Amino acid sequence: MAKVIETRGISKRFGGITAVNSLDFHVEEKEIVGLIGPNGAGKTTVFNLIMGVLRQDSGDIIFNGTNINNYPTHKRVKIGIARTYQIPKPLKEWTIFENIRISMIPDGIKSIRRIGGREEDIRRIAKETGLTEYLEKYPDELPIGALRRLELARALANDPKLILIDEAFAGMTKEEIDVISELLKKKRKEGMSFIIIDHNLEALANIVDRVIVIHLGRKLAEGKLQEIIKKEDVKKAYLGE
Amino acid sequence: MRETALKKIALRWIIAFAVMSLLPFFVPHGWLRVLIIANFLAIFAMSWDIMSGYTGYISFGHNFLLGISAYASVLLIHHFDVPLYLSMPIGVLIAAVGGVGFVLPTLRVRGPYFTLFTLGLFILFERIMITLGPITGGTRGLFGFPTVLKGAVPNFYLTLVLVFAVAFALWYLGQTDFGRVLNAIRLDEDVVENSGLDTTRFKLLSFLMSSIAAGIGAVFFIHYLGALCPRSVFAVFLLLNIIIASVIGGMGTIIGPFMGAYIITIILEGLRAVAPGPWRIATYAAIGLIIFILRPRGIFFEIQRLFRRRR
Repeated sequence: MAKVIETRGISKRFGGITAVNSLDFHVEEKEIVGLIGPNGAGKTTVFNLIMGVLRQDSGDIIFNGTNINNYPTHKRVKIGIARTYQIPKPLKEWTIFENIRISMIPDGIKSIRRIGGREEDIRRIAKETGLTEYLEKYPDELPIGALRRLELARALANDPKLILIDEAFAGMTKEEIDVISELLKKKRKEGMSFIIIDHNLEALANIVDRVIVIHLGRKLAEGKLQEIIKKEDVKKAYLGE
Repeated sequence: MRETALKKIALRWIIAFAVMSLLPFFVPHGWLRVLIIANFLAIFAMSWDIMSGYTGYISFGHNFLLGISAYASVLLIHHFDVPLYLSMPIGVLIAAVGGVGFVLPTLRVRGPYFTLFTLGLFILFERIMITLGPITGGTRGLFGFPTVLKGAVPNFYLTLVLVFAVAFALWYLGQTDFGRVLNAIRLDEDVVENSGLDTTRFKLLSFLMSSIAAGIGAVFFIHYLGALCPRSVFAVFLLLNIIIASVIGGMGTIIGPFMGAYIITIILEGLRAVAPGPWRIATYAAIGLIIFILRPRGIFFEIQRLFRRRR
C-alpha cells in the first residue's frame, strides 16, 4: 500500500516547551489511524503542522510523495488534506447549506464569475453526515453533535484524500457515533484515509486499523489498539497509573 | 440568481436612479451642491466597505488612496500639461498600483496591526505632500486646474451616474461568491483558508477593487473642487465621515454606506442652521453614536428587516 502521508522527524518548539519531538509516522491509503495520548501530548499540534497552520522547526512532511513543507494551508487543502476542528468553527452568519458549500467555492478571481458547488453534491454530503434536516438552519440552532458532523461535512466537501479529525466523537450520542463510524468506514472503502484524535477508545476500537500513542510530543507506541493499551508505559502515560 | 429575482433587483436599481435624477427639479442649487458632496462621500464609503466592511480588515488609510490618486492627476496637469482625460485614469491607476503595492506586505498581519499600518501610511503621505512644497504647493496646495464640468446641475448628474455605477459594480461583487468569501474572512479567516481558499489573494483583490473605486471617486472629486490641498484629501474628518457613513449605514452591504453617506451629509448640513460652530460637530457625533448604539448593524439592515416582515 502506498503511503498517503509521512512525517520524517518533525519537531515543534514553543519557547522552552517541545510540543512535538522528532516524530516519525505515516498513514497508508485506505487506512484509519488513531492518534491518542493524554492532554497536552501534542496531538492537535501535529494536525496544525500537517495543515501548515504552524510550521515545523525541523523535519519533513511528505504527502503522496511530495514534500509539502513550503505549502500554505489552502494549497495543502487543494492537494487533498482536510481537517476538522476540536472546537467546531462554523460560520455563524451562514446557513448549514452555505457552510458546506464554502469548501466548493472556486479560488480567487474565478469566484466572481462562477457559483461554487452543485446543490446535489451538498445535499449528498448533508445526507451522509445526517445534516439534511438542518440545511436551512443557522449554526446556533444546532446541537453540538450536529456541529461536529458539520465539521466533517465541510471536510468531505473539499473532496480530500486524507482527513484529520480532531475529536471525532466528543459530545455525540451512541447513535451518532455509530452513524459516523459507518460513514468513515464507507469513505475508507472509497479510498480515503483518516487520522483521528479521540479519547473515546471504545469508539475508536471499532474503526481504527492502527493507533499511534504520543506523549510529550514523542511517539510512545504504535500498533493495534487492543495490544497497545495493555503496554505498561502506555497505561502509565495515558491513565496516569 | 433566478431570472425573476434578477428582474426585480434591476427594477429597484432603475427606480432608485430615476427618483434621484428628479432631485434637481425640487432641490435648491445650494442643496444640490451638498448632494454632490454626498455622492462623493458615498463613493468613498462604498470603496472602503468592499475592503474593510466585508473582510473586517479595518483600514484607517483610505485617505492615502484618495490622496495619491488626486495628487497624481493634479501634479501631472500642473507640471506636465497632461490633458484631463489622461491624468484622471492615470490617477486611478496610481491608486490601484500604490494601494496594492503598499498594502501587500501588511495583508499577512491581522487586526489592529493592519489598522495601525494603514493609519501610518496615510499620515506619512500627508507629511510628504506638505514637505514637497515646491512641487505640491505645500499646505496651500494647488488650484486653477481644470474641472470636468461646471455648474451644480451637470455636476449633480455626473456624480449621480458615477455613484450608481460604483454602487452597482461593488454591490454586484458583494452578491457573488467572491463577496461571500470576503464576508467569510470577516467571520473566520482560518475556516476560509481551511476550505482551500487563498485568503491573501482574496484580500488583495478586495483591496485592489477598493483602490480603483476610491481612485475614481478621488480624481472626479478633485476635478470638481478645482483646488487641491492636503486638507481636501488627507483630512481626518473625511476619514471619520467615511467610516461613520459605513457603520451607521451597515458595513459589508455597499447599499448601507451609500445611504449612510447621504444621511450624514444631510445631518451635517442641516445642523448648520441650528447648531453653530463646534456644537454642530458635537451634535453630529452624538446623533451618529445614538444610531450606532440603537442600530449597531446599520440602517440598511433595519430597512431589509422591515421589508421582510411586510411580505
